[in-house]
Amino acid sequence: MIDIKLDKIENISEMSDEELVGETLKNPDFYGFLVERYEEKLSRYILRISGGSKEDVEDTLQDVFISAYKNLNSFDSDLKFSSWIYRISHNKVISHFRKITARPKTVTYEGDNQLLNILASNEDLAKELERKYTGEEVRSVLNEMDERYKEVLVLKFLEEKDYKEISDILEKPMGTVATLINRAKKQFKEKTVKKEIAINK
Amino acid sequence: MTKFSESIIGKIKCDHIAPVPRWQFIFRGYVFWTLFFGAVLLGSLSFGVVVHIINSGDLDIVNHLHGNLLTSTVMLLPYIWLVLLLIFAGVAYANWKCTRLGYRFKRRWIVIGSVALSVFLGSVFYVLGMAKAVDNLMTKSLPVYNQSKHAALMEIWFHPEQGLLTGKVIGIDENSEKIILIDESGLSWNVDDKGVKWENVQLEAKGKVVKIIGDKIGERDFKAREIRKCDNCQDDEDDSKKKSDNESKVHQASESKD
Repeated sequence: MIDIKLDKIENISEMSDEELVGETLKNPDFYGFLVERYEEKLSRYILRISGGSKEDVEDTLQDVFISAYKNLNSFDSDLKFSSWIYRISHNKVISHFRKITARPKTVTYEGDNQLLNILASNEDLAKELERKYTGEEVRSVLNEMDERYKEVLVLKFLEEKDYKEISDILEKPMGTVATLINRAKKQFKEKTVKKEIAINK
Repeated sequence: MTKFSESIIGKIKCDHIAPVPRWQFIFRGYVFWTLFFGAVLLGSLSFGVVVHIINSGDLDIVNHLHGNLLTSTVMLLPYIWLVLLLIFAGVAYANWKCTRLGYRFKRRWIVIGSVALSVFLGSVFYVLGMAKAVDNLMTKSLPVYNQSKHAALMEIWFHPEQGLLTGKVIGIDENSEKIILIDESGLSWNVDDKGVKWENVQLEAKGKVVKIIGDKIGERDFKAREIRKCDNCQDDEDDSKKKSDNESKVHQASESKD
């Protein structure tokens, strides 16, 4: 049973995440609204970086929200709430999936092929690939990539996070994030070219 | 609300999950910062002692030693303190990484920063005389440290053929006006100190351990050009005498109070 006054509920959509954190610390029912805001985004993010099954993703997601709730008092207002909760998700994925070395299933989100569009923007070869690849194929390329490269590409181009946010999520300096993104783009292009050659053969 | 968010709230309520109190996070933050500054402080003291030992005046005898300059210089380095400096820099780095914003800085800048801070504070400690005090304290309270210093002293200073001699003054030969010295192996040496430019009578007192630069001129004869004091040397009777004198003074003072 959710116990929140009606006048507050009307204002909730206007409240920032940080304000909702403050309210949650007074009344846990407010946490449901934060969960609602991030449920879909985090579920997609976890799936993209882990490649786990729907059930695995759901379990991880539940763990993320419970862990975030327990640690709400450690939330630092210097960070965006989204960066903080993405960071928790990143850490949970590492501890859940990499332990059991789960490999990707075929689940993809529509829009994963936008990564190809972005990476392809200035190159003729990539433009050609862009027309041929589906989101699922992009995902399969992503899954062949090194974990650290895959994750920065997902954060930068699919989750549309800026450098500062990626730095806060992965807990790496911004310079390192920039280097990782450049290397990841290079590796992604190499993999797509290889795939193209294999298909042509 | 979605089904999922309701299930999360339900679980929180059912399992009576509550946020960890804020003070615990604040306390953890303070612990990391305290360990960081503690490590930097100890690293600084280590650096200060390194400077103190190197600056104690023994580096200038490198040309008396056989082997190349590098080998000799390396032999003179106070390894224990250098290792401690590295360990404390490592501890400082590990703690900095655990602080809230530690991840925002590149590893090399954190390491360089903590070493630079140790070098800066270590220089200040050296100037203030704290490094010498720490070295003295360690010499007096840690037998292993004292032993290793003694071994290093022998390694560096007992090379009569190369003009370096160390030992304890056991007396002065009135006839020849030579200092009689006994070395580590118990052999006695006659040391002619006429060539010493700045003679320090206190240094040549019976029971003192001294370091001598000069030339070996006979089987057990040595001609000194310079005689140096040996700080905190083992077997320095004068030092231990002073120490026991001080102890007895303290003892007497406490008795008279009673």
